[in-house]
Amino acid sequence: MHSPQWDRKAQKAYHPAEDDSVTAECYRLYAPKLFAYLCVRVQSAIDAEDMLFEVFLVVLEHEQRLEGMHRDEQRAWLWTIARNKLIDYHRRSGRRRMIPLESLAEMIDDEATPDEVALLHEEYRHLRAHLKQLPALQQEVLELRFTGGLPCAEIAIVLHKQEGAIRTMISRALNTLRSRFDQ
Amino acid sequence: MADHQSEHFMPDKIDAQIDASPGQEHTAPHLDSLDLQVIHMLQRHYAPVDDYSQPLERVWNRLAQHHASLRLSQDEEAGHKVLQLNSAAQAQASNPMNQVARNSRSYSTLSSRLRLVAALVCIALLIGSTFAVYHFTRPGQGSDGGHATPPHHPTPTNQPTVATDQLYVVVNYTIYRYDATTHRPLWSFSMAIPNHAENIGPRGQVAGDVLYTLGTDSDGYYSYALNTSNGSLRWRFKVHYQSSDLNLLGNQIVSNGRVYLSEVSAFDGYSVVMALDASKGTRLWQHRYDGTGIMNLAHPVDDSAGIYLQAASSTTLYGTTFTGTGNTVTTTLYAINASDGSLLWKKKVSTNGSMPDEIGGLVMDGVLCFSAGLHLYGFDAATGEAKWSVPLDGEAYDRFSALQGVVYVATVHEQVRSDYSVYESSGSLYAVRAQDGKQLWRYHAQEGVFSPLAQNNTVFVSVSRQDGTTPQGIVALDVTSGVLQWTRPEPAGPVAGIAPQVAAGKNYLYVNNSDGQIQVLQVSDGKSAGAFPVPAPANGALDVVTVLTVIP
Repeated sequence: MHSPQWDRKAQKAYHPAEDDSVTAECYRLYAPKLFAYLCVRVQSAIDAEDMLFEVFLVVLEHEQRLEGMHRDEQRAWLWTIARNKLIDYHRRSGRRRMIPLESLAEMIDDEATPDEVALLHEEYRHLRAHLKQLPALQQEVLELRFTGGLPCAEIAIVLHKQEGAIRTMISRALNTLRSRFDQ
Repeated sequence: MADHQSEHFMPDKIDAQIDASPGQEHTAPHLDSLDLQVIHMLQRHYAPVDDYSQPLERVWNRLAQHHASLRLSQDEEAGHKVLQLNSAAQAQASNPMNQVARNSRSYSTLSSRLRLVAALVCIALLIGSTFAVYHFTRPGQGSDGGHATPPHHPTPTNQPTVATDQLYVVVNYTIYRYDATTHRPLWSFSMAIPNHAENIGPRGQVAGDVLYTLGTDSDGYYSYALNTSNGSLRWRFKVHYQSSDLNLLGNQIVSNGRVYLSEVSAFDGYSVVMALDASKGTRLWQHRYDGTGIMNLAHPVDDSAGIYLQAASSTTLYGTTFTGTGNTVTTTLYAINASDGSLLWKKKVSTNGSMPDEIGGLVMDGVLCFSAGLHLYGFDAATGEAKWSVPLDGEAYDRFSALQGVVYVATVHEQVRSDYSVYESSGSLYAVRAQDGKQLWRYHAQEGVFSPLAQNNTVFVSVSRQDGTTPQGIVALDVTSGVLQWTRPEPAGPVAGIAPQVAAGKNYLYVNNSDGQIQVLQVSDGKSAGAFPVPAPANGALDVVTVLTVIP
């Protein structure tokens, strides 16, 4: 489902020890991905931490509600909260800087040869350039899909769109990227 | 264009196509090697780049601490459900990793508090000039709607005009008026807290015998007008904030007998600007502006959707938008007819790709001044033509102060340590002549510079690093030369996470604090003149003592 790198990182993430509360379970399941999602959307890692904290404060307040939810519902609910927090953060902070795509380091195999690394860098440079040219909503949908791992149905909930529209949007974005790499 | 590409990725199968595990791609329909390459590149591109175990641990420990403090208060309430979070922070105190985590958590809290304070405090020092601000650039006009007639100033000033200081403080959603002479509360006005309340950072303004501020009630957020004599409600007006598609953008502006508000429908790309009658709270006009930017998280600049109100004169309300994407980002200046909300003109202006700051600008000597990124800009208030720009060494966090044609702007330059903590490595106070943008002088500090306040012959600032690595202090500078008059450490010592905010009365400075104290300094030499307590913020709450305004 995710790249090996992601799985490796996720396994290293901190696990709230032996806590069987809904909050702890949600934290174990979703906090790493939420944090990754937030990290690329705010100015600094410290802001992402603050925002993750705020998201889980809401979780604490709504434990009972979350208990009655299926996993997919929980995930959509959490990302909706996170996204609202992000929107508010950017709306109110007056500091709208974000980490530019260029500053996101890519995961490149440590054992890759210099030529391979150079090739990967070139490919990712193109990828970033192509991503930038996508409509804003397509970019956001891709981010939710790949950073958050949300399936189309959940992205639709987060963005208040029809699932079909999200499916179309992602397909269109991927086909666009594919065609650009095919050239 | 995308319209002509072949359909390798199909809407009805897209989840399965993306989720095809490495080695099992054949199970995902219609994927060739290039399809897989695209998916893998995206997966790698969006994959986390760091080991998140430490930040995740820090956040979890913060939650545990928060929960522990919550339990303390909730234990008193029988039958209240107690959550089962592991409070790992205490138990693991000796663990070096947790020590790091605790420190970082602590800074995170500080960071939160700083932002909170920066957002909400910004002590609105409207000394005397509450009148001046209220009647900013209002030559020749008399009293309005029963409000006191302001003293006439050729230029807006922060000159104190009366003798008895009135101090308005907000703590935990309650507004207090203190008699600064006796240090006793004269009245209080409590506001209920809505669910998931977020402090919207009120600034107080007093005009005549009315205190204007944003506030809350259990069902949402309001613009309040309180009688200064007894704290009774004069009127209130419900604003949209996290309650509908519309959201209040920035703070309100009180000027010339009107209260101006801007609400934005960020997803639909329009703003609603309105004016209330400051004496009655009734809506005088409301105008919708389309095309003010559509918020979308994928594009940073689109986050700033909406008209942000910068300043108002007697005839014109000024706002800015920051819209577009990529290389086409645009700052647009709006001039709105203050009497009916119609658009007088709008003009695209250059702010070097930076969004106008939301601290609010001002109009002085026919020039609209506001900051954006690392510049202070001046625009012809009548036409929107750019007149000048002044480079700054950091970003402006606090509202400007102004005195006799000069704008005082405090800046903060931040740096990031290897542990991701952010600190204020330096800052400055700039004195810039509004008319021509000439920098008259600059005071530089090895800390962030906050809360500028120009009064009489002196301009006061606080200097601070929020992590407490340098002492916090109050600095007084000669208003014309920038020469240091005196400097004093913050009387109560460093207050973690809070930049001292300076409010000035006639003879005293009032410095807010997080421990339920208002420190009092002599304006003349900065010596302590004591302190007086105000109700302390709730235990564990992020609220701080917020001085809404002081009226000398």
